[in-house]
Amino acid sequence: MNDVVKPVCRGYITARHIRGSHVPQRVQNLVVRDYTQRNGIDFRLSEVEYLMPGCYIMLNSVIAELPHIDGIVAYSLFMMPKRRARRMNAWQSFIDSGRTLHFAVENFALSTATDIQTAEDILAIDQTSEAADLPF
Amino acid sequence: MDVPVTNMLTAAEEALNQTFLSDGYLVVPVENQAGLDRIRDCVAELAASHLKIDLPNDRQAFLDGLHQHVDVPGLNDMRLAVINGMNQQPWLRATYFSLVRSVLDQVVGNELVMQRRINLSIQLPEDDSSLLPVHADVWDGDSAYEVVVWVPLVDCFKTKGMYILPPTPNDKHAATLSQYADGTTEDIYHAIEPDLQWPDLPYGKAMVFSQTLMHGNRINEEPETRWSMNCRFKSMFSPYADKLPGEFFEPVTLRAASRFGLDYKLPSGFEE
Repeated sequence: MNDVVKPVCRGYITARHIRGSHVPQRVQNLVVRDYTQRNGIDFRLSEVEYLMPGCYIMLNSVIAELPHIDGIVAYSLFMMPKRRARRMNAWQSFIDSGRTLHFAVENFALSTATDIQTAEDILAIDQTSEAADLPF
Repeated sequence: MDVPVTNMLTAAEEALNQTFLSDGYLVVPVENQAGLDRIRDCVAELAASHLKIDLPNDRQAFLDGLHQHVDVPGLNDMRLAVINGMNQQPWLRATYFSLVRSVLDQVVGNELVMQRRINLSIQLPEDDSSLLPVHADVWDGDSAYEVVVWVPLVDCFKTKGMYILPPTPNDKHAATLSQYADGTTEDIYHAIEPDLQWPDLPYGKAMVFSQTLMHGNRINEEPETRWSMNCRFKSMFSPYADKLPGEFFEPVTLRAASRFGLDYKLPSGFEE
């Protein structure tokens, strides 16, 4: 039997609320771990984004690790930077390095320019819905 | 006129609290050596069982030399198997608490909640896959009122241990942390490195520290494997953050007066 080499990915979860909800880190890790198992990914222990609003030092750190791993499995697309320029820099790091950024909740992987557009569309639609604040 | 006495800590309690305040941590001998030995032996048995090897009589040497039996890809599966196995032992948490009970009573309080699962950290020599980058648990959603009880299962020293930033330099560096907004945890580490302390913790000692302080570990450059456990405690009625009672904490020393208070209902049924 041939041994298939699994891609190695670092987990990335957050201490902050996501879309206004608190998701315990243990639950985020379960979702990330389940995603890696279903997709044949060799899981590396998750890093936790710091609690301070607007802080992405841990994201920067896991991106700096990309030369040594195959990608990152984030809990959700909605924990990515709110500021577009900062977010585009993050996306670009994956494109430039040929690595993949997975989002476990959304069951979505970003590794091409088309994927970036899809991710941006999802975020924009969500923002529009939020702004509409419909009473039903 | 005599000044009223408001601080009623004993001299010994006051000394311990002052050390904790100034250093941010306490290194103390465990109060239940037999209990620690039991935990260590249980962990060693679970590891040997997972690896399907015979457990040598010298448990500590076996743990120190784990890297001879497991590689990095297999490490996390083994770690999870051992964590699950040890946390299934009904005596584990009470024994862990007994290692530092009187110290917690003095610096945290006598009505405590305890983290539900005890964590286990294993670092093989030169392994960079399971490091804890610089952080304060408060930044990860823990309450600032918690302490961590960190207990090594082998002799821990230098890079085989952990580092911590004492309160005074911690305050200084925390005040300028946002200058690393576009940087990484490595940038923070290099900035704080000159001020770090690396407490020596031989087997049989435990460290209690405030997780408001920056801490973490580095690649273990010693020729032995590091094994350590950690578990959080806090005063039952101090403020909680994202780690809540039930999902994360469990009360372990609820006292009678608080039981009365929790159960009390003011008589009702009166009408204006």
